[in-house]
Amino acid sequence: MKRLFLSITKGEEIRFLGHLDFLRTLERAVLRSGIPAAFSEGFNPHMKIALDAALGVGVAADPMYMELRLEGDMTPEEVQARLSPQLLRGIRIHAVREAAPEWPKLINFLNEDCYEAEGPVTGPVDPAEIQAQTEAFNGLDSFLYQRVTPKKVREMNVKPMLTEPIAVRVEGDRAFVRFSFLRTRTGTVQPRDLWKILAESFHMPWTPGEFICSRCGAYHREGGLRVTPFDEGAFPAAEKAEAQ
Amino acid sequence: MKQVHIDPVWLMHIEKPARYIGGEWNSVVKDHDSTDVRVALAFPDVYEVAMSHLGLKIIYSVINKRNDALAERVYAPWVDMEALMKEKQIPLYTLESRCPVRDFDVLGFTLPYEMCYTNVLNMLHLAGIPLRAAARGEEDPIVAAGGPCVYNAEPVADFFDLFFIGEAEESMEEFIETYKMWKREGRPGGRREFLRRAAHIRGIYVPSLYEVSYEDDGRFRSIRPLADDAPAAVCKRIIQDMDHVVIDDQPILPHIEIVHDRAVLEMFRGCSRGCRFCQAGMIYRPVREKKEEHLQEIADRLIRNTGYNEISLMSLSSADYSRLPELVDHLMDTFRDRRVSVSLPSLRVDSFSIDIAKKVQQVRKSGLTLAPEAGTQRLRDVINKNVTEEDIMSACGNAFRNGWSKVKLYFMMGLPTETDEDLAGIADLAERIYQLYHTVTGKWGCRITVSVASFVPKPFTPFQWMGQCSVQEIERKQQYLRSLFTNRNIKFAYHDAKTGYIEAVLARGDRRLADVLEAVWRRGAEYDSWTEFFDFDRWMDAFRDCGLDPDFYAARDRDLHEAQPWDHIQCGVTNDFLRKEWRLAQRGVTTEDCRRHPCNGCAVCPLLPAELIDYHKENEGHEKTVFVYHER
Repeated sequence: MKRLFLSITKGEEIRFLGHLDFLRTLERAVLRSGIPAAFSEGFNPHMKIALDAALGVGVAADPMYMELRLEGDMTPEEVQARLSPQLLRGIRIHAVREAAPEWPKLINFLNEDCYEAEGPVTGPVDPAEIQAQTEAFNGLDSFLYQRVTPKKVREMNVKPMLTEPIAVRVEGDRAFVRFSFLRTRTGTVQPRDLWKILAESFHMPWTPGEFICSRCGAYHREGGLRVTPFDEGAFPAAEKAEAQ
Repeated sequence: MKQVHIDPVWLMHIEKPARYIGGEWNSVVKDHDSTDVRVALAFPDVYEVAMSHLGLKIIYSVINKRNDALAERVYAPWVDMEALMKEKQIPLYTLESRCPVRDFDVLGFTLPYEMCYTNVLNMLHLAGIPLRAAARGEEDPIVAAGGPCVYNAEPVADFFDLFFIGEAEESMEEFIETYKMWKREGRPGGRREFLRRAAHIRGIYVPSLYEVSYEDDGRFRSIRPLADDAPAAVCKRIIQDMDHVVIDDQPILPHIEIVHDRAVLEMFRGCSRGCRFCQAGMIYRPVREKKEEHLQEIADRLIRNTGYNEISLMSLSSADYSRLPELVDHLMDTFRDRRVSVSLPSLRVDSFSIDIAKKVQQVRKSGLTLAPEAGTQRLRDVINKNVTEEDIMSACGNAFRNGWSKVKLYFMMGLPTETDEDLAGIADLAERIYQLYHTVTGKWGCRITVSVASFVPKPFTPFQWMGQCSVQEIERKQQYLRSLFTNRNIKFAYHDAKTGYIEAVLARGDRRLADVLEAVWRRGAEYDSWTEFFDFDRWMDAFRDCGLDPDFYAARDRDLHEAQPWDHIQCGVTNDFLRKEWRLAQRGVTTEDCRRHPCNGCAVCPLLPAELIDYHKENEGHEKTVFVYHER
């Protein structure tokens, strides 16, 4: 069974599709394209297709990584050529590559997500103040945040989950924050949490909850270095074995 | 073209924002500035319901296949989106281009059920279009409607400029030609002149060209054309040749899961079984099938154009398609390797249907739904259901032998001549089916759901003259029936009697109800077909405000020769035939299906004129003798 990795976009036009809706849209495009996708066995066969993360409603992504298994043979070039004309506005294919059977699943391989959050500014904007608050936040070793949901209150230290200093900028009446989160198995801080923290505790000129978010990168981060599933040598052990 | 601005940040607080963004696969975006006729097609319910409607998809295709016209979609925003639109002053807009609905030439609604009327008013209001047709100016779009409710559109007549009666594939083309000519001529005479011209198109009803009068006691007296050239009676349009009509073989794929999320293959139109409670069975006559080979081609195109993994064989009574076994075999052969399943939404209550169901559900035996409609043979004969106890038991026996263990049974209560004995028959029948499962399989544990709706008399049916059972009586019947269900494996569900009552008022209402509709909408009514929003007291207050008695419309037994608000609309079936059927119903005498039996004189074939198309082998090559039944 052939295994393919695809680098695609979940663009602005379809940011409001939830994970399952986006996946269904891709499945139907694959079916229309005539690509020999593989299916699971059983009463209710499912296409063997997976995305690198379950992004929420409202989150765009460029790139988004996708795995597709084929039951018949087809080159990555032909897959791209057949699938591209069947995609909705907002979905584009950057690249397709064949994946070795022993390569990990994308969801297990990737451990860092970079985002840009965007929202309307409220009140007067003082660039020096924004700069000072950003530095203050970046300079902290730890920041304890309580996430309150109807069911429970959860306390977490936000700082270890951030892999890089955050960057804030204001253009016209919109504010933008770039940040990178580590993926952990124990649940992680969400973009909305950071947006809220910055508004409430660091006096940033925006309102909690009033933002949209785009993922602008997903990486395997190790020793401070970032690799994507499309970088040469991304899967060193496996690729070395292949070369031999 | 103007476009509304929606900051995506606003949509983050809205439930299922994908309802409002457009851009779905197969949706059609055209240039507004270079297109002659721009139509916004509206459905007065939420996205998931609206996107499942076949009629709207067909009209969307008919219009968008033309070079000189475009059609875009607009659905009722859910209440959270409505609040946002009001707060941010976003006018109602179409999904394809985000163009305000008010800027279109035509706004065409589908009216699928009466309880959506308040949503129509709400959408007009959100669009910034005056509610009443009489208040609209030259800048406003022509507001039109089609769908089953237009057969008696009088309660909403004041809100619309015109109605399409019947199947609109062809009349829509004529309408667009007429509009284009009028626009090119520089819109002579304004919208009034356009409406006068539109009234010349067969099947188009322009209510403002008619005058209504009432008797002193409040009963409807007459409806007459005000202009010489408006027809005294508007006859429905039908498509005679179902194999050469525009079909929607590129249906729009919804962004989110919708009610019917599958490819739909329409096999035929019309149903001549003649169930006396059923409006669809009367207004969509005669039966006209598509050829089996043609259906196979369409099915293949549908799947190739969508990527759906399920195709539903749709018609009023799917099991009646004359070549169903062959069609199902061919589709299953074609699609087996492509992992596309075939489904049948409406099954007849007989063993043949189960054999077909068995074929299409080879692996998973999901539930089986049957509609005996009444609990005793006597009452089934009254409503002309033409289903015997033996049919029901043999269908269920066949189903149980083949692995089904879940059965859903649909019934109605409040039918004419109904007694408590007939209600007890429902519980009795369910219990016997439960026992049958044990006899057939040797096991217990069959799960049965009995769902009982309250009957609403509809225009153009033999029951159009009868008074509806009161809300109190329906509620008593519900409680009585509930007391009869003691078996834990049989679940009993029933519909809200009060919704059925308001539906009955609107179904057989007249133009005076426009005031009630506006009053109840002003009091906050919308989404009345959703139980969580329906507020009966609000409706009763609105009736009181307007000085109208709802019982007068719903509960009153009408004289068999009394004038009705829908007398000027012709669906082909005559009042003489309906009166005959009403009398036969009283005596419990059944009428056979004219499809494979002699004509019953309903008049639809000779009057329209039209021809029954049935590809059953025995029927081929024979010309059917038809007649019009006249009362002496």
